[in-house]
Amino acid sequence: MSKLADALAVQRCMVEQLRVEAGLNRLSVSQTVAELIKYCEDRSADDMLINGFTKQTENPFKEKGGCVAL
Amino acid sequence: MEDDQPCEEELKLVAEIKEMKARIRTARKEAADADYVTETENLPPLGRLKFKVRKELHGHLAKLTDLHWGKNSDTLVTAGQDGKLFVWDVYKCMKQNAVFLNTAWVMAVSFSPDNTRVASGGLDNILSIHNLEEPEGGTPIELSGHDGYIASIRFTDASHCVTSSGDKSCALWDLQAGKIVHQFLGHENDVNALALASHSQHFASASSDKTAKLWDLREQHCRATYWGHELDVNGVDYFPQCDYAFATSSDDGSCRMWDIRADQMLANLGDDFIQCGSTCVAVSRSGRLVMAGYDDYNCHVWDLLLEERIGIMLGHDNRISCIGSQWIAVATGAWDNNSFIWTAK
Repeated sequence: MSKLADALAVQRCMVEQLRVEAGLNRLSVSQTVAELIKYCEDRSADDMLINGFTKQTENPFKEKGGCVAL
Repeated sequence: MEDDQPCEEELKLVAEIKEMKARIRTARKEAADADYVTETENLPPLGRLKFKVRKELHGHLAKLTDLHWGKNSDTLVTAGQDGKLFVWDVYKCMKQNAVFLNTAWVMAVSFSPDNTRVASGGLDNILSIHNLEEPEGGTPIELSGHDGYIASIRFTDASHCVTSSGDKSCALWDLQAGKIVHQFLGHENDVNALALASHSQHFASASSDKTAKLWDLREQHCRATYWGHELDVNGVDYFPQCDYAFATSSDDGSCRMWDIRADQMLANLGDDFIQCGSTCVAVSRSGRLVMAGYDDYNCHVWDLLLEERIGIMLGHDNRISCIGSQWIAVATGAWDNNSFIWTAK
């Protein structure tokens, strides 16, 4: 019987949780996507993974040094 | 004698669960007054991106399982199943610190906010805190509380951590009290990864129950559940510096972006070229790029807004297990025992 009681308790919790999730205030997709796009555009100049480095000397990960004498 | 017939209350609850989920689906549809593809299709494409390995961090003698960038992006901590944590100076490509763990089966690692400590956890079910100001991490503080392995750790502040676990829960720890102060219950299977919002007021989790969940750290409850992935969700990363959205990676081969404020999936990053699971995901500084690791030893770079695959990161010789992005570089870790630092060419 306690196994059943446990299962019922879990399901009651699930119903309560789903009730909370159903009651969320949702913004419209048109509004959130517009803001996401603006967010990306405002920051794109600083995103070095998109733009790379203007000069490789600005890249702190670039291997130092040029030619090696053999 | 067990009664296999569902009782009346159980039938009622099952029906209520079904009805609530239908209500959520309807509410999400009502918020979807626009189509993501249509809203983004006129954006100029980024073109093909090339990423190059700039640093190779060799030292682990077994698979890497996790990594975390330091606060100034000049250090990286890696965890390997050789039972070691290494803290790397990524510019000099040298180990600054090494911690020898009491267990080889580490799965999660995280710097503390001031980088003086690292936390680790794994199949031992123990959250271990190591002091980097002592040789080899000093004697670890070992905290019990989870009934399953620890898959992911993040510090919410200097004295609190959030963890995700194979016991299906996430937990908020008070490190000074040495215990879990709140358990976040709701996932129906292992919780494989978590990501913290930049303001630490909520976090997102990824689970083998095929969902991602959003959790409120102040009010300590689940705010939303995101359905859509077809298999285990094993990676998660937030949109940078805001709480607009987060990305997930899944064994179903796709990465998806979930809009928190519209409460639904917007982007689905997958195509026929990719025939294996995605294991980990990271979002770039502007939010525009998603880098994801896959079972086929590659990472792919996606344009999140146009949902196009625009770059490939070739270099590892085995499954990619972890990835992390910072301002100018991406770190990857793999089952080939190596970690690489990549920048755009």
